[in-house]
Amino acid sequence: MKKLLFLFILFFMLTGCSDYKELNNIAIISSISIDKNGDNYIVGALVANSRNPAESNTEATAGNAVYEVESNSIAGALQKLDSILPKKIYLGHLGVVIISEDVAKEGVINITDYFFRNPETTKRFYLIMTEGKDKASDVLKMLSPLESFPFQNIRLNIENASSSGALSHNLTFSKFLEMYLKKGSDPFLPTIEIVGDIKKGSSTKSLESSDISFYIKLKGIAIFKDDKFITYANIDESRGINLAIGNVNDAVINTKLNDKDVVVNVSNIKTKKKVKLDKHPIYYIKVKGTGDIEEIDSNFNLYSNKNINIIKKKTEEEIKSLITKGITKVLSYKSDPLEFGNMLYKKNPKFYNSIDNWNDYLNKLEINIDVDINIQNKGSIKQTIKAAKK
Amino acid sequence: MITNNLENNIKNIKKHYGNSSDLKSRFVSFKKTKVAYIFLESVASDDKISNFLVKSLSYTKISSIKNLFDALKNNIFNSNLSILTKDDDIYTYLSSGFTLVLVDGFDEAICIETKSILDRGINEATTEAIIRGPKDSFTENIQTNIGLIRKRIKDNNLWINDINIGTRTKSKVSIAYINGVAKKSYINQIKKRLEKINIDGILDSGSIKEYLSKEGKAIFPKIQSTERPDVASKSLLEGKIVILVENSPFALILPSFLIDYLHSAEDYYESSLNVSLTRLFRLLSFILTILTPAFYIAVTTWNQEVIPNELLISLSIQKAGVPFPTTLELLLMITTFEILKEADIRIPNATGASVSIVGALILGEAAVSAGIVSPIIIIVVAFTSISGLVYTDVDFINAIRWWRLIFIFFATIMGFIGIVVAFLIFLIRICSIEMFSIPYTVPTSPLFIEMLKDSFIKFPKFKIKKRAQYLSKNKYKSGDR
Repeated sequence: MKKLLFLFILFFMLTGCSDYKELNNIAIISSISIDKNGDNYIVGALVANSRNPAESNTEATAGNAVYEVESNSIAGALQKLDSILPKKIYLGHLGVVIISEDVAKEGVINITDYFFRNPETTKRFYLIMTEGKDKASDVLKMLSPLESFPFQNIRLNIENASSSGALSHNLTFSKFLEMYLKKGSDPFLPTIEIVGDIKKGSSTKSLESSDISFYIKLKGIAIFKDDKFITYANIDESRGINLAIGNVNDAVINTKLNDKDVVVNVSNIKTKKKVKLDKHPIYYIKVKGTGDIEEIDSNFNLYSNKNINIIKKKTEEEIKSLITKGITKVLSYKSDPLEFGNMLYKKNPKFYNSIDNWNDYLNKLEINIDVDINIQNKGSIKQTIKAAKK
Repeated sequence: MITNNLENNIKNIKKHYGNSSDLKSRFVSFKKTKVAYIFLESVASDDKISNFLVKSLSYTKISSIKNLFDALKNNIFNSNLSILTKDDDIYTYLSSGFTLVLVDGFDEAICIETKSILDRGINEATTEAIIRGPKDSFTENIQTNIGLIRKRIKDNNLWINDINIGTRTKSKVSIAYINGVAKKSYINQIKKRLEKINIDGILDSGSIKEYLSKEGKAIFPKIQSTERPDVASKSLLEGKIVILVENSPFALILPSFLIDYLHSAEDYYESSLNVSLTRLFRLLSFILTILTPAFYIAVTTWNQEVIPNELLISLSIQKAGVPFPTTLELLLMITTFEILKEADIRIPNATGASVSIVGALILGEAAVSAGIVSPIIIIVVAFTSISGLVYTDVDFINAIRWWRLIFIFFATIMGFIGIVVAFLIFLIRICSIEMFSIPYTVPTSPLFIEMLKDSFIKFPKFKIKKRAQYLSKNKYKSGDR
């Protein structure tokens, strides 16, 4: 009996009776957008468990309710949101945070304190910014005919786009902070763009037609210095950076052979970066991958190994030029998303600290790029159809 | 007391039975000496009496009157004949269906066995059904039960000792064990405990369970009861002790451990690969049936971060409009299911099946449509109940029900931490049960590697060579005894 009593007392010393939440009393916020209006932040929240009015209560679909509130701090805005909603805000399943360009220009770190301090939020949400004059809250309002849960729209879009094409990257909040905090490394952010009319895109009526001309599109990456936004990288440069970082599942590389297109799909890309220190550091980037020949627009045949090697060389050159373009662009803006500084610091901290101005030093770095693609799959035919006709 | 006077003896016996209407006696004159036989018509069989007594009386040749008693003793055609003098014996045997033959002038009674058969025949087991294997089950007749075991174990070392328990019922309790395999100390302890019982009467083997082992610590049963003779025989071969009680079709098996309830009789007749997988499923269903409701409560009210996005959204939308908190919903539906199960047992067979299925499905559907519970609760409760149906031992199912409620209580208060605390309590309680100084959680703790081969998974028979050390000193199973 004494033991039971002791156990009971132990209970009430532990934390937490206040954490009891019923499922139908919480508003699950799955995406947050942050815009700027003068000194204030406009925070938009996508409530994921809103009812879809067309379906009954027990169907597996959800509605798309976006609320916007304005305040001079993130926590203030979310508390204002509490006064609008009939349910308590729950941030445990936060999936995406979208920032507008204005917020990024002033520094992303300004808004990150709330999310990092709050123990309820996960730190695995994706961070993304909108390009140009697009409002971040408009991104939340976009509906898609492919998703019965609109909150998945953005998140799955990001994951899908970052795994193929090498254009975008699914950067999580914790990774962003890690890149920011590391010595000799600068973060970057993927960008998102709204295509089409937002008024049409946010109404379910337009989902009934088969002509879907409004959607959200992921574009290249944005270059940052410390935590402030500087400029955008174009398509080639973004692809180069992503290939150099090496988290690409597969990417389609266009090369030209005798002025005709040859398309190779490169997959399983693994990148290794090394630094060797003599009098000055020399960086080596080694990219390895396997390639599948996807499309040949000429009468080039694949009977002999020599031809395949020609395609292999052309693909490797193309990748190398993409990476070079990307690196030149970022280094010219003194930004370092590839963590060159960090690599040198880890190798020899004294040398790193002895350099007076690392930012100016960046421009003069010597980088050797080596690409090795192993063409494995050539498809089902060896001769192109054009050649066979002859 | 039997005196020399025949008339007084008969009158005495009738008086002790209060002149019950089924006590019949008949006087026969035998060369000027009176012989009487007395029996209880309800338990003695008329055919047998006429066969044995009348026929044998006519075949008896006597040379002189003095030897009438001996002549009768030697000539009555009956394999089960004894001489009685004590009162207690007389009444016990009379009530059991024996016939007493009293001779005028002698103060002993001849007792012959003329029991009529008052049982049903050997049927299929009703509570423990298996697909492949023998299907006979114990009946209410203790001799039949012992016979069903004897015909499976033909060893002369299968010893059966009797004890009578109950001052009024005088029920026969047989303790069966294989000499040389079972440990003598356990048998002596069992006998001591049984002899201490001082009670009016016992009607079923379940009544003596409490005397054999103290209940209460973890609600889990320490004594297995079975209706199948093949299960009893298998336990005997392993070194366990089987107790059969008169008028009860359930045999008790001691000592039994937690692992025994996860086994079924079929396991020894199928190939070990199949059996291993089945046992893992049973273990899984044991965990699921206790933990699922508590886990659901913890995950939806305390730790919503654990479940995936889409599931959380769906659950949240489905729960809109439901007035009760989650725990109340769950307890409501669990109570309904338990009541349905209980009602299903009592309903006569004709309408039995339809009521349970109809009741469960329609009640669940109707409750959801009426907005009393959310749809996912029905799935959780149905899943829990079905997992619980895997086990057949009634005490075990009872224990599972209690622990389910305890886990629900702790999960409601503290969420996942509550489940961990409840699990710690569960573990402590289970590990502290002992039977004859053997811990309940053997063979996992303390570890007996040889016995692990037949616990959660089953190795083929030729790989399991030894018996459990805690059950028997006789180590090897085959060949050498």
